[in-house]
Order: sequence, then C-alpha cells, then structure tokens
Amino acid sequence: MKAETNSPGAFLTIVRWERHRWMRAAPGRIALGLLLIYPGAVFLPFEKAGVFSGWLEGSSVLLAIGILVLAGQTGKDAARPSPEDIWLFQKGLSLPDWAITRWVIDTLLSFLILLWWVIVLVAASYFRGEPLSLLGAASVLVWLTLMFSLCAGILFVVGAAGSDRGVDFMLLVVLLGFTEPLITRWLPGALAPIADLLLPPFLETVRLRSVIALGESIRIALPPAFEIAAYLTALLAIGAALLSRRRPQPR
Amino acid sequence: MTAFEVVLDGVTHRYSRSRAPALVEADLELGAGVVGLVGPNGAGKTTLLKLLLGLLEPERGTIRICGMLPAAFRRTRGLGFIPERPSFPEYLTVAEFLEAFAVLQGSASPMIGADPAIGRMKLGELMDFRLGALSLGQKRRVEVTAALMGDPDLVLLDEPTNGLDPFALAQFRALILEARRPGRLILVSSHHLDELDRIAERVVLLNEGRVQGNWSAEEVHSSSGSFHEHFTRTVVLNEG
Repeated sequence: MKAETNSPGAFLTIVRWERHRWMRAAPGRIALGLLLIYPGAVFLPFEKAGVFSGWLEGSSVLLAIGILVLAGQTGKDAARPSPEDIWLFQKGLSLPDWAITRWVIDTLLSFLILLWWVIVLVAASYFRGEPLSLLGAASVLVWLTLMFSLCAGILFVVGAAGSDRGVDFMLLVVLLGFTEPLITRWLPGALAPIADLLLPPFLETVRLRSVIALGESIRIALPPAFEIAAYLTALLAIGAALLSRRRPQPR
Repeated sequence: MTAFEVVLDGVTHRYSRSRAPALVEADLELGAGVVGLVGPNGAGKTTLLKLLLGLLEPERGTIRICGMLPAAFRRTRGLGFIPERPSFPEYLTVAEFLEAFAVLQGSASPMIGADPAIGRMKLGELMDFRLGALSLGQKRRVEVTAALMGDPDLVLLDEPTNGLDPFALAQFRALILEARRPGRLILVSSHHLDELDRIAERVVLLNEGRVQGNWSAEEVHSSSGSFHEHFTRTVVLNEG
C-alpha cells in the first residue's frame, strides 16, 4: 500500500514526531525550560553596566545572542540526512517534503518562543517604569523573527547539503553578515556587489527594526524587507534542490 | 494470487570510477517466496538490495519489479526494507513509531492494532518502550513489523540476523516464516547459512559481484545436503 506524503495523516505524523523530538531529544525538556527562562535576564540592570546606552539596548543584545542559541538548539538537525530516513523512503514518502514540513514546524514553534521572549521584554519594560510602545514591541518581535528565520534558513541549507557542522557555519555566516560593510569596503570594486549579494542581510533586519520602531513610511521599510524575503526564499530553494537529490544512507 | 517477479537484466553498478564494480552483468529472475542471498563479504549483496530499493541506480542494465523501475515500484506500492544495522528515531516509543506507519499507510483506523503485522509480531509488552532502549533482538522485531506494515509485496532484509542470540534468532526465523504469503518476495541477505537453510525456498549466490548460482532449496539439498556444504564446495573449493 502506498504512503501519501501530502495527506493530512502524514502531516499529523510529522507534527507528533516533532512534538516528541522537541520534548525528548532536541532541544529536550531541560533546554526548552532554559530557553523559556532565558529572557528573564532582561530584568538585569544593563543601564548600570556602562557598556550599553540603556536597558533596551542591553536586552536587545542579550536576545540577539539568544537567537543563535535558539537556532542552534532547534535547527541543528534541520534537513540533515539521517539513517532513519530509510523508513520514510521505503514507504514511498518524499524526503524533501518531509524535511521542509519539519523545518516549517520547527520554525513556527521557535516563533512561539520568540513571542514569549518579547512578552517578557514588555513585562520588564513595565517593571522598569519605561513601558515599550506597541510599535517598539512589534519592532523587536519582527527583528528577532527575521534574525531567527535567516539563521534557520542557513541551517536548512547546510543540513540539506549533508553537513553536520551547520551551527559552526551559521555562526561564521552571522559574523560575516554583521561585518558586511567592512568586508565590502575592503574588497575590490567588482567583488563588493557579489559579497553584498551572498552575505545574509542581518543588518537589514536591524534597519527594518528601526523603521518599524520609529513608525516611518512603509516605503522605507520595503527595500530591506524585500532583500530579507529574497534571501530567505533563495536559501529555501537551494535547500529544497539539494534535498531532491538526496537518498538515505542506511547503516 | 498476484504474480510477483523481479527481473535483473545485465545489471552493473560501481560506486565510483576508481573502484571495481560491486555488481557485474547480473542477470536474475525471482518470483514470490523466501529467497536467501548469500556470498562472501563484498560480493555485492547489499548493493543488489539497494538497487532493488531504488537507493542506487544501475550503471548498465535494467531492473524491473512487476514491470516497474524500482523507484516507481517503491513510490506506487511501497516495500519493506530492514537495513544491516537498526536505525530508528530513538526518542519515539514503539507504539508512536508504528502508529505513524499505520497512519502513513492510510490505515482505515489509526489504531496500530488494526495492522495484521502488529498482531503477528507480539510486540504488546514493548509498545511503551523507547526505541533507543530496546535490545538488538527487540529492535529487529520492531523493524520486521514496520517493514511488513502496509502488507508490501517486496521485503528486503540486509543481514537481519547479525548479532542476534540463539533465542532471538529462533524468534526471527518464526517471524519470517509467518510473514510468507503468496505474491510476496522476501529477499534475505545473510551469512547465517544454517538459518537460511531453514527458511529459504531458493538461494542466490553472489561472488565478486557476479551471480554465481540461483538454486531451489531442493536442488541444493539433493546435490550437497545443506546450504553450508553447497557453498563451501561452490565458493571455497570452486566446484560450482
């Protein structure tokens, strides 16, 4: 009897397996608990550290670091070949469909964690007597979500390419992404646009956050939003193309 | 009864240009039944199973399973395959793993007990155990169950008895015998010739990538007495 990848039953099966994986393996209950209490650190008195201009900047840096941890925890196995894929393969299921659905579920679950982080941030702002405006909170949520999506997209491509060093690669690419202005200034003229095209638009996420926080015209928000969307689409397309050629490797 | 046949016509496969072919000009016709696939290490047994599964493409020659290419057969009808070493999502319980297969196979009832494979394998006491916590013999029982879910016509077993103790071996033998049915080919690659002697109705010998023999159990028994004796003479003493 043939198995159907696109049936509701298949989708529910992936959801169930992902739920069990999240609770028992990766991230697992303990890591999940730590990820949930992590934003509690935004209650720390960053303004007294003398490093940040204020508590919101300190909190933002803390949450940005948290993004890397969250992506590493929830996305480290994204699209990565596994010997156990042989069970899906032999029943006629499409491995690319399966991997992409898993990635989407993992990403959506991670968005819920990010939403919780922003709720804690807003609570901290009220606690400090400097409540975040709706636009301020929305800008942080959008920024974190886009940062995470780019990290998860990078992990997806690296996993689809068959590497198990996705987190290492992601950290390197994040570093390169944030140092893009330095790199493009240093590179010869002809190579600078290529680097600009290849490096992930992490700085665009920061620009978009500012545009939303300041309530500026949507026209100003469009170019960075388009660049981020195009980059993410390209990541997923490359990952899907790599996955389509993959065959499981039973032990 | 549905006629089931696997036909290999001049199949050659090599893993890379710099290596000798793992399978050379293999011609083979198999029908339903339990068939043993034997031969020394590196003879091409696993390669043949992977070709039938559609994991590998032949460099030359054709493979047809009921008239279809292996990949098309797998996609349209599904099959059962047990790899040499068990690989499971170890965070799942036996019930969660098998239930998913029942759903994926489009079972009318999502209850895993609905699939006849479950009842045969007597997994009741293991259902709430995590797959990662099972012994090798228990894992093999789960694998056989999962492979048989959906009632596939083609079941490929790659060294399924490796590492099993005598008790688990006997249990495994019983499972295979119970899984026999008309219209189903169970192809078992194994070094345990005595085990194959007890379950296989036909045996195929591969040696250095070539099909060196394809005999019924009766032929082997009447000429040599046992599989073990037959292959000692054919491969080791080269009397084939």
